[in-house]
Amino acid sequence: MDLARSTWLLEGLLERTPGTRHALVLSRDGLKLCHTPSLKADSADHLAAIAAGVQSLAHSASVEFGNGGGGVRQAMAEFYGGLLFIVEAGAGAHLAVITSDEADPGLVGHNMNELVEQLGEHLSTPPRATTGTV
Amino acid sequence: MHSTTSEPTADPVRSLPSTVDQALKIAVVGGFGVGKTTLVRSVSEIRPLNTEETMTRAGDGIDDLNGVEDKHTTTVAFDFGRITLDATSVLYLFGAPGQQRFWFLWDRLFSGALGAVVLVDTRRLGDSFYAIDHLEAQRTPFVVAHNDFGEGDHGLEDIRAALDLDPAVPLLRCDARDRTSAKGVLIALIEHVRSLVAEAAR
Repeated sequence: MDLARSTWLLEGLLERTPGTRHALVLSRDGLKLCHTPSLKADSADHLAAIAAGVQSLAHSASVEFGNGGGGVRQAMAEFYGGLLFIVEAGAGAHLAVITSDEADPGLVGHNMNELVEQLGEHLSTPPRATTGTV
Repeated sequence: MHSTTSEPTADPVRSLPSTVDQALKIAVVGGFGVGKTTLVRSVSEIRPLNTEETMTRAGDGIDDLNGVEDKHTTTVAFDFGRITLDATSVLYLFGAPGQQRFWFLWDRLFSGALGAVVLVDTRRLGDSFYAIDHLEAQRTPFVVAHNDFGEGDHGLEDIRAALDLDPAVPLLRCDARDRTSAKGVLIALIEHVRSLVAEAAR
């Protein structure tokens, strides 16, 4: 993944979506891949772990209560002071966005999905090689 | 290999008996890759809630696979399983993810827990220090189970010394893949908690 290009894409997402504060691409096992500069490294680490957990639980909800189609379209949390949106990005990755209270949830979701559709292949991380030693 | 359970479809899914009036929460903790998900899966009588994700290359150099080279997936939220003890009691099992980046989840998972199982692997004993320190600080009763995958090559007393474990904390051996063995760990924890309660009442 080209870090500079991906970061630039995320910044573009924030620019065209009012109320958004941070954007982060994370691996499905909970590690940050790239994020907007608005997010400090520690917060990015934390958000990556949170978003991986939320998406995984949302997936379990989909398996238990969905129509069997599998997959999660979007996970969202609304808290005092903002919202968290997460969508599946490229293979093995998720896109998370934090917004203020003022953001329009429909627009945020739409713009996130649009970004993923256009550029999903840039926002991915492959599985680890089978030999485990690093 | 390590994450296969001995009897994956051992018990048909059982519904909770209506006589159950005592729900006990148990936390399963320990370092990365020690077998927590496997243990919950082995003993659960319901389809366990599964939040395992494929490990990606982003984890190279962060999630250390030394000694667990066959590991391909890792828990990112928590494991959840259930086992009915008798007509009135049911255990709810919550398995925490092992890596440091998920430690913030632990306090919530532990709250209200009757006790905890700390799984250890002698190849990576240091990974369990955080769990043990955390439980001691919270005064949550716990037992330590050495997941030896059926091949006991370390003396339990050596492990107790290496972990600097309080003599009062039960330490036993288990094979997390084996339902009976994993169940034995939970029973040891319940007995330990029971004896602590009896002691306190004296």
